[in-house]
Amino acid sequence: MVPVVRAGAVAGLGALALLAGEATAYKLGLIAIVFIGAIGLHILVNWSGELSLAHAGFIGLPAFVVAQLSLHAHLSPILALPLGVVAGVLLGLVVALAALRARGLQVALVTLAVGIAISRFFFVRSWVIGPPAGLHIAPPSLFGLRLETSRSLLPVLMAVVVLAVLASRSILESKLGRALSLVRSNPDAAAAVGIPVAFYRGAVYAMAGAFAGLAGASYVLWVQRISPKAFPLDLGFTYLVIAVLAGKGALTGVALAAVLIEGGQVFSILPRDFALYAGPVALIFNVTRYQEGFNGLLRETRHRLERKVAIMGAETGTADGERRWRGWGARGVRLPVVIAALLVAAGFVAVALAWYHAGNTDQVWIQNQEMVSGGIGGLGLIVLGCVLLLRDALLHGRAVVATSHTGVAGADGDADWLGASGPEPPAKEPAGPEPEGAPTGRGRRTVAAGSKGRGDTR
Amino acid sequence: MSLLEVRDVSRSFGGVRALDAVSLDVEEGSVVGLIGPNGAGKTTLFNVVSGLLLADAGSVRFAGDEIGRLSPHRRAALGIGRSFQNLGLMLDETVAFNVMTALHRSAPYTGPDVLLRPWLRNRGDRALEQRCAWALQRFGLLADRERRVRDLSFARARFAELAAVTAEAPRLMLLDEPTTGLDLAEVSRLDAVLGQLRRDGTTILLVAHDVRFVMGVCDHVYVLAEGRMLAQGPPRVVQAHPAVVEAYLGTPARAG
Repeated sequence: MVPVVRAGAVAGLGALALLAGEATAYKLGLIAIVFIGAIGLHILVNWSGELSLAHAGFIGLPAFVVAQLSLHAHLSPILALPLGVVAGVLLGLVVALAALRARGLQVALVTLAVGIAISRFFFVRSWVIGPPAGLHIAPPSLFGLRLETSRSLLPVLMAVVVLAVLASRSILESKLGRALSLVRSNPDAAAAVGIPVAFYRGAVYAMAGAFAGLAGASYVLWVQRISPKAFPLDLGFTYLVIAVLAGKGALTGVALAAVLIEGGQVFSILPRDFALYAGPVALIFNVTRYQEGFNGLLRETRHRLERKVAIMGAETGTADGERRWRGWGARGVRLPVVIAALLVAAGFVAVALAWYHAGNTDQVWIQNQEMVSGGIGGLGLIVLGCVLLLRDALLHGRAVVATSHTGVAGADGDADWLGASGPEPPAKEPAGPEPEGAPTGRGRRTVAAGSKGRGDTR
Repeated sequence: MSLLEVRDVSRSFGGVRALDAVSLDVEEGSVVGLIGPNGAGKTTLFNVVSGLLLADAGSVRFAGDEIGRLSPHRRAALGIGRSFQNLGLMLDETVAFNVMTALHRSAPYTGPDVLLRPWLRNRGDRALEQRCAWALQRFGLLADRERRVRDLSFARARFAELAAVTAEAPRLMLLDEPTTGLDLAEVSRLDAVLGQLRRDGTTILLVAHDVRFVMGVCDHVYVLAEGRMLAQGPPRVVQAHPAVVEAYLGTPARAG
């Protein structure tokens, strides 16, 4: 279920992106590039427990390598993408040599020193950065097709993103990812099961370098004008914030964090310095309060939903089909569901229209209007529809639970006892996105709260 | 020739001699117990054998080969598996993920295969999942495979670690305090599993506080106190050994 939903969402977003106009497409590309770069730091920080403050250099130096190569060797930046990866890997290995000798805070210092060294040594040499105005690269071409606009380049970049996602998922969902996470949480145990700890710690820097190099090369491909100003030292901190916000787990968290931070900046929804101010706050918040980031949040929500669905499933199995609303069709299509589905569809249409319009105008104020009316409005419709759907599912499930339980629970008074003294009183339940305290009767609620409490005490 | 031969191993931390010329033999296919009071050096000896610590002096031989200078992951590759006193597990991951991680060496694909031949990874991980299920079955953990270790009781987490060690089917298993935190029923389950492992030909060296458990399950017992080997022999002999009684109970007070 979840993979299907995720694939559908990704495909939908991809289709939307292809609809976007030139200006929007360009900004989307910037977000995608940040996402690619953040994957590297995600593996490094969240999966391996290492730290790198040199990520700006990790991205910038390969970018210059690719730019210089495509300028002097007249190589299409598209074909130079693998070279960016190679440059990143080499850089990662150099840093690994230094970082392997250190632990914890020292690693931060070592990588910070590398970052400073790159920006102070390489980013001032004219043989690296070219003329003061920066390097200009001719628009890339593929199979004789000149890709001059961002819209025409977008499919290429999307292919790169897909490749990066597939590669990183392969790494993380294999013995490599498992080994990295054991090295992170318990190096001794890792060594005892036969994982060469030092090798993996070094390799992860190379991996981070590979994704950073890919991001750098994609940047050259995308922006076609490159100067050291694009890779200031604090860019590394922005990436770190993205990685920490994402938290350990899948790439979904990275994508969300990248969209929030970089998307917030390029679409000017967030103030320009948002990352600078919110970054430390988010870090502190994360470290002290909630260490699992977006991924942890998603996992938690999913577990909660799954538990709920499991409870519902168990109960509907015992209940007879009579309790279902009789509507159209054999399984009983309910009117609220239809309305909710229509709302969601309308929301997507609104977003798509706004997107298309905003993309095809140069006027910022029109773009903003479209963003507000179509974008936020559409998103609102989608959220409303989803909430209705969820509410309906929960209500329906709960009604069945309640009716099937009253006989048993009422007989021995079990449910009331559990409801009254369960470890998690209903009043304290966090108001999540799913309507916990939806308008159900008081008597019905005890059963649901009781079974929830029972689940938690285990 | 014994499977594991530890000869005159010494190891100091600062001025403290945690191990002082300790020797120990583990015969192939036997279950050997190592007991001793707190701070006797049992875990240090385990670390020296599994490679997490290097001995200052002495030799460690495994299946006839000197392994005293090898890094821990090479020793694991030779077939030495171990558990940890304070759980060598990732608490925030699921039981199945932990066991799969412990099967690192058994994965039938290499690192580059992950990117270059992903189908090998898919097939290989499916095979690992089967082994993982088999190991969990043994400890009655199949129903808990998707639960996080943190959410399990300590005893179940302990079993999860043992499942992870046994899944790899090492030649020599080092179990550090496997009985800690287990109740009687769980200890007897552990007893049964160890018996099964021994029938499969696994050699086991274990440390335990639970003297009765050690005496029941082991063929041979070593007693370590203050870094020295105090006594050794079959359980019944060791139990009656005056030095052991003294180390555990203290000297009888003299009248007068």
